[in-house]
Amino acid sequence: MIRIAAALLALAVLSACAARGYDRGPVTPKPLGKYEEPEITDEGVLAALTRTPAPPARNRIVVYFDDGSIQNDLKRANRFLPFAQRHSVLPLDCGVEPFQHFNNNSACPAFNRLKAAPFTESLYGPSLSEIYSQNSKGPLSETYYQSAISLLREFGKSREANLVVHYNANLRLYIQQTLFSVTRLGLVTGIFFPLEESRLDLTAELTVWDISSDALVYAASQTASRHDTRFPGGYDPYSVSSLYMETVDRLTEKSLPGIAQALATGKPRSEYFSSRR
Amino acid sequence: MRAPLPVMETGTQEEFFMARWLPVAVLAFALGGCAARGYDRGQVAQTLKEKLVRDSPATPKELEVTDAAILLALETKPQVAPPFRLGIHLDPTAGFTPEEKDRIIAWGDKLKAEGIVSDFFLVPESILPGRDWDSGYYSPANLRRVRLGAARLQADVVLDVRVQFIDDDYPNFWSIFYPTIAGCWLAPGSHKDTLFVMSAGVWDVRNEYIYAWLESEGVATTVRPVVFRSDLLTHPPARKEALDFFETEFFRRLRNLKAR
Repeated sequence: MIRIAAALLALAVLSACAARGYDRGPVTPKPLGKYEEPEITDEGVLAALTRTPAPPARNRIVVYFDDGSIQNDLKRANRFLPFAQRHSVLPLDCGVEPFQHFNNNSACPAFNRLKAAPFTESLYGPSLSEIYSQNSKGPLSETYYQSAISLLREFGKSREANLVVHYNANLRLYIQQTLFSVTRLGLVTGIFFPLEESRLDLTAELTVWDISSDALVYAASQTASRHDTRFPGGYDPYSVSSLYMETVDRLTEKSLPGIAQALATGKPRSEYFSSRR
Repeated sequence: MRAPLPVMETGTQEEFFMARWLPVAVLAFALGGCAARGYDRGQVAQTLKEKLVRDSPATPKELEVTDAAILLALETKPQVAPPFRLGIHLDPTAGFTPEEKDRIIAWGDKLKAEGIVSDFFLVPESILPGRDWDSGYYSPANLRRVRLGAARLQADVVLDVRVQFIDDDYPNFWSIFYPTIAGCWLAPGSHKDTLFVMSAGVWDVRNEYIYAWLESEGVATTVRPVVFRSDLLTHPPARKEALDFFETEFFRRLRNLKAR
């Protein structure tokens, strides 16, 4: 009995030694159906080179936050799964609710910044169901960003909007054990020590599209990192969502002058904002 | 008269135990050193090939190489000369860190100062059509989607960076102490090697003329107790080594372009 108990204990502790961390593979896009991207031809590439946006000074804008990537990232890290199943990560939901809802949501400062921008006449944040209802081409495809933007353009036309603003973000999580993890040997004593340290790298992207000409007006990306020391019980998913909201807010704030300039000059523009600048 | 048989000495129970288990321990120790190690470069090439086939929607027609296609490639000429607008597309599966992106973006200032580029910017993944994330390598269809993304930002030339990395984990002799539990934290019995490969083409957005092709590798290795084995120990140095070499080559090739 003693030997069996010792073996079981050894197995239990060894299981705690298993390599843990993250899946570095690509985030799987939402499997949404059959919508097919138009074929890309050399002529299409040349046409895109000469296509220039021509929006007015003040714009009716459809804005959409894609939280799918973040949600997928969270679900891929197994330890977050129970949380991700029970709750949507709260602030990220503002992007998929109708405008009336998240206009009053203080967790969406980025949205409010955009709404207050001088080039904005009105702003609309459609729900997913509203977007789907406008979809005349069949279900969305796995080519998620572009098919979503394509549907947003259709939706925008029905609301007499002329610009689409699309946000998305991607997350990478790195975890390693600290020296304190040796306290796992004490089983109970381990709960008093930071056993792991983690690093979150997040990249948020914002794109602005002219609905009528199908031209890209503006693209920007913003990186952010957060280092945390983790106590047992897993990572705090609110830390992920707060980092996301801070990042898209910062991205929006820094992008506004560039968007205004791209609208004024009619020349597409891409900007990169570092977390360290 | 027959000689008496030698009398076998009887040892203690501990000695008997040692005599029986010591060879087993030595064997396990030796086996730990026999673990397969090294990168399977053949597998890397195979993976790239599979990605190329899988991601090309027009397979196999797209991949068919004809004499006409070769002649067309020979006749393709560069459409721009420095300074040009250079877009850079980074492999979305590579997980470039903010620090690495900062470093790459900073190349733009240097290139502008040398009169090689008039503008230097990122081509974000979300403006590219087609499959996102599951990026294949240089399939014709995949390259065209990168060119289209760059064209949407009116880039003349696009640097398309692809990345592949392999981790090789194997135990050494010290791993025999892992069953003692404490050995998981104390015995340096786990090797982790990382090979990081960057490959990139500098393409003309208008006609797919290739100005330059670059490849660089970085390797890092670490030995730790199994609990402390982490990608964070090998990936950053391997990536840095690859990026250092890549940066040097990239500038050399672009300066050559200007000198032509």
